[in-house]
Amino acid sequence: MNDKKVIKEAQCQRTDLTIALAGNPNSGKTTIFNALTGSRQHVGNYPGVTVERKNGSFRHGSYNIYITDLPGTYSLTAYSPEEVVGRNVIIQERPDLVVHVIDASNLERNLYLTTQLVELQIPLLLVFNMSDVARTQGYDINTKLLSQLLRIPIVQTVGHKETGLNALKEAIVKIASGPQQPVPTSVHYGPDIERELEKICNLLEKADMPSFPSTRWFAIKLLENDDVVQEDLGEYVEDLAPILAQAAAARQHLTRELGDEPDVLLADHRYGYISGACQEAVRSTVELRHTVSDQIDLVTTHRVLGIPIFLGMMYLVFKLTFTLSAVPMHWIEMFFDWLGQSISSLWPAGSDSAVQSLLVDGIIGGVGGVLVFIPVIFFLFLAIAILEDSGYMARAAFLMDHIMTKIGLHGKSFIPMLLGFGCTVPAVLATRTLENRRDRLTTMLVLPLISCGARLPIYALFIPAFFPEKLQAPVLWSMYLIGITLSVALAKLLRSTIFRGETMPFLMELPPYRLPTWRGALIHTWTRTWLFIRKAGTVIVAFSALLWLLTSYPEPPPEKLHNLNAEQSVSTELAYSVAGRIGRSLEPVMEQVGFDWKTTTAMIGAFAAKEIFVAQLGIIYAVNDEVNEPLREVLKREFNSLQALCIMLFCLISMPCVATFAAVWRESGSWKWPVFQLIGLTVLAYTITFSVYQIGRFFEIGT
Amino acid sequence: MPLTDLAPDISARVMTVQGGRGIAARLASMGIYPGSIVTLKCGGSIGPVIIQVRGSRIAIGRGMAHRILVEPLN
Repeated sequence: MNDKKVIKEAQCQRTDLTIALAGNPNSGKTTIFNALTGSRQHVGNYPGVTVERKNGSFRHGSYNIYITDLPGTYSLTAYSPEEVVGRNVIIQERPDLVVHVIDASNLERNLYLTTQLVELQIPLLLVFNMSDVARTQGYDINTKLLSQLLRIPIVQTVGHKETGLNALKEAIVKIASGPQQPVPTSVHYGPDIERELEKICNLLEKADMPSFPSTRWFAIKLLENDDVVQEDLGEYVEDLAPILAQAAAARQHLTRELGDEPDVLLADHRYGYISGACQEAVRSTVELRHTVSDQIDLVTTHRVLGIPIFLGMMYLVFKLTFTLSAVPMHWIEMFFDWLGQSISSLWPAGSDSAVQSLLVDGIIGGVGGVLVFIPVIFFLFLAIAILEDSGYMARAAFLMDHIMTKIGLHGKSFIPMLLGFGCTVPAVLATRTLENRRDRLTTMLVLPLISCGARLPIYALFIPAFFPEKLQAPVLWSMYLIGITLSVALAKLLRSTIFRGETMPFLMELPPYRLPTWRGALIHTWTRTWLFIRKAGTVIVAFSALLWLLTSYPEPPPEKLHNLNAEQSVSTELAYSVAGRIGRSLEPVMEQVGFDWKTTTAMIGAFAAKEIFVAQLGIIYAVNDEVNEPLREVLKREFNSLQALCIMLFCLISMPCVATFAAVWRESGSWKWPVFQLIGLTVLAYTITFSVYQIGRFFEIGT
Repeated sequence: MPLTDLAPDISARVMTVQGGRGIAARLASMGIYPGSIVTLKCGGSIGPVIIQVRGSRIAIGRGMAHRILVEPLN
């Protein structure tokens, strides 16, 4: 009886273990992370940098294991924020174990990171992932022998098939919770370098250094001229100057004596060590023949065929997105109609209640108008996630690089721009993959010019109202085209003025083609779609309410409403409100571009989120905007096609929404950039719409 | 010769990587270092090139590729 009780207690008490997951990009690290943690994961941010932080957890036996998925890196130097973040997590948080996921079909390159992890002297476990690919490529890896040579435990897995996962969990628990493991063999850098390292170590030992990582690690970093380590050392070493001087002298000496920069020399030794180990333990039985990936690449990266194939893919993506989302959109529309009516019915018919108006017109109208586009955004992001996971996106970036460089952008800028068709917010976040700050800022600043999903309600309202059926698709198409053209032109301008300078050289690994997993693609898609929904839930609700306030109060005194019909009284009420007054004061300016004061008032709302514009128009023109028909009729009466075009143009070019403003602020690190973007785009919008309107009026087109 | 002058599908050994501030180390961490064997997969006269290094394919911008000096194997 006693035994059972003890066992039960032990089961309820779980021990916590923390581990970090490291590895090259494309090593299948994330697939393993997903397989281990399932849905128990959370994506956030490392403070102060825009690198994503992924945390998750799982249980195994009597252990709770908390995993941090470190950013994929090729090494642990200071060249990119990802690498610095990765090693900081290890150094500052000292996980119980670092699990290094390795692409077994690319062993030597992957082991490069291992040599650096070993130097951090933290418990290490190697996971040889993609062992199936390695086998088909003819590699015969004797993991037992290799493990002995490296003195690091090795587990084999096939990530996307979830093979070897249990063995992995067992190994993680055993090593992380178990006794001290044997120390892995560290790379020996040859007598000359080792001598210099020793000199630096001696100096470091005299200073008050933290015990972890070892002085040897610091010495190696100093020899590599690592900026970040130098800065960090300044924090706890009082007299850093002689140490830095010694390191500099060492670098000079070695360059002279051995003919190469220390970091190259160190790399050389690391690969030498890796080569030695692999020659013993790895047999390559088949000549590296053309894989399926190679064959696909022959076509997709073909100098002539590549781009047309790419355009074809893009067309497919958009066509599928719009086709598949039509039905769900209809459902959502019906839901919100029903919701609006049910809430309305809580009040007697014809009621003048302010709260009813706020709820139905303001919030449900505003939010419903947004959420109806979730299917479009979801399917677009799903298509993009599938393309990314399959590996095609890397080829697309490669194909686009040449053109993008001509514009002044980087090949990698293309993915944020593609995402911008769905929602600008995840697009801004996607600029993180651009290492060069200039590239990143330029891309961020021009992103709002791409017709995002929020503009669709505006187009959906105006285009059918003012253009005959034959012209409708071309007009929509041209709005997109204008956006793209302007973003290109603006990028070029920015790059030749404020952001002048060399673009980062294009350096990107093209992963082998892979069949994307549903789980991976859906997680990917959902993370981005959620951002859009969250924006709707928070920003739009808040601003819809705020705007409702601004457009309803103050109310005009009753005498003024005497003898006015419905439309006129709404008009007067609007004129009295705060927003209305602002609209009226801007009227002379906005008239020049085809707006009247009511539309201008609605535009103020559009700053919060473009989607609100339509709802605002509905309120302003005193129409129940659940059914767009009547609103369209009213608009047809009030405006001519030229003005309609100008309104759409202005909406396209100007005022990124509040959520974008916030995202740009956060990603660029300063409020100056979003403000600059806001002012710049508004000025640009005004200038272009002005020209179009005035020229149109002069030639009497569309009036 | 610079990598960009290599004929497609010919294997070559990397001799040196010219370039300052970390470019060499960066390339090394991706598998391109003096002594490694590379094969040009996609060259052309404009835009980035694609090379095969061991088990991976890497796309490199033209300027950078030009500064990787290789010696064709026989």
